[in-house]
Amino acid sequence: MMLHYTCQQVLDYLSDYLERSLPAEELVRLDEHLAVCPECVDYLNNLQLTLSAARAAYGERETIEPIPEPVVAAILAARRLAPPNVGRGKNETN
Amino acid sequence: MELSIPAPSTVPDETSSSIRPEEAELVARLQAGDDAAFETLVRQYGGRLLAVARQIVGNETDAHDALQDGLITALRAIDRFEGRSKLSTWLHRVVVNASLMRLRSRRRIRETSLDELLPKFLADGHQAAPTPSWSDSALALIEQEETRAAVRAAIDRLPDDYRSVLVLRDLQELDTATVAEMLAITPANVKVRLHRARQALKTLLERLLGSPERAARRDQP
Ligand SMILES: [Zn+2]
Repeated sequence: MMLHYTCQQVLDYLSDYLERSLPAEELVRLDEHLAVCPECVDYLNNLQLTLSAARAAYGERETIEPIPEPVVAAILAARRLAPPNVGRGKNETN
Repeated sequence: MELSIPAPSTVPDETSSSIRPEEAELVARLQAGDDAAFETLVRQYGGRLLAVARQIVGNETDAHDALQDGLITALRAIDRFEGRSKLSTWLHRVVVNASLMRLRSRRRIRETSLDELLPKFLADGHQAAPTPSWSDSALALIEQEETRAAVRAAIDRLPDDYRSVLVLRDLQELDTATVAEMLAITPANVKVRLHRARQALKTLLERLLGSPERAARRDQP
């Protein structure tokens, strides 16, 4: 008979569980625990929602703001101070 | 310290991601030392790259510096760009590296202790404090701009070593092996840090979004 996981062990595996990156028998043991432990189910749900929230927080990639003008000016000024050619002539290979 | 430039071999070599004609032309002008081409590069790719840098370093000032370091580095290395990947993919990698370099060089400030955000357990292995059960109300909240800004602030509060892994894996969607290489840590270490980063962010969001019970109590007169 397989040993049962404690909640502490289950919580350690939840990212792997979400990604299904565990051997099948481990997934079964986790499923068995989750079937009888509402606390770990709550934890798993919140972990999933946390991931959704992180992605939503940075979502809508199409509305990326243009680079602010002062940042453009600073980069162009830095480029004039550090000409691009200093890195050349070292005969670097790929 | 020299910024590392991704070697051509580490850049995905798929025909679908190979360079487009207008990118090839821009690269040729950059390689010829055309000043206007660099400004075009900064304007065309800068907004998106700045957003990536901001996620990794967690604040505006360092993000500007990281973007500047990355674009200057890219320009110096443009002769080595061979067009086997998209220019945007290559620039993304250079700016991620510049952002990680900035994290390593700066003094750590206002970091939340990670331990304080990880779950506590009783001697019998049960959680010491129950997880507040979020419901559909929390799901609706995360789409609101006010919540989204607060979530971004919570991500910024994670310790550098953990935020960087969370950003690269969960937001930039790079694979474990690539992130391990970029951070010079093992893939197993990437997985451990990612899980702890998610757990810590979960705790911060639970404090932010609260539980439905608390919200209900707050609504009562
Ligand atoms: Zn449990």
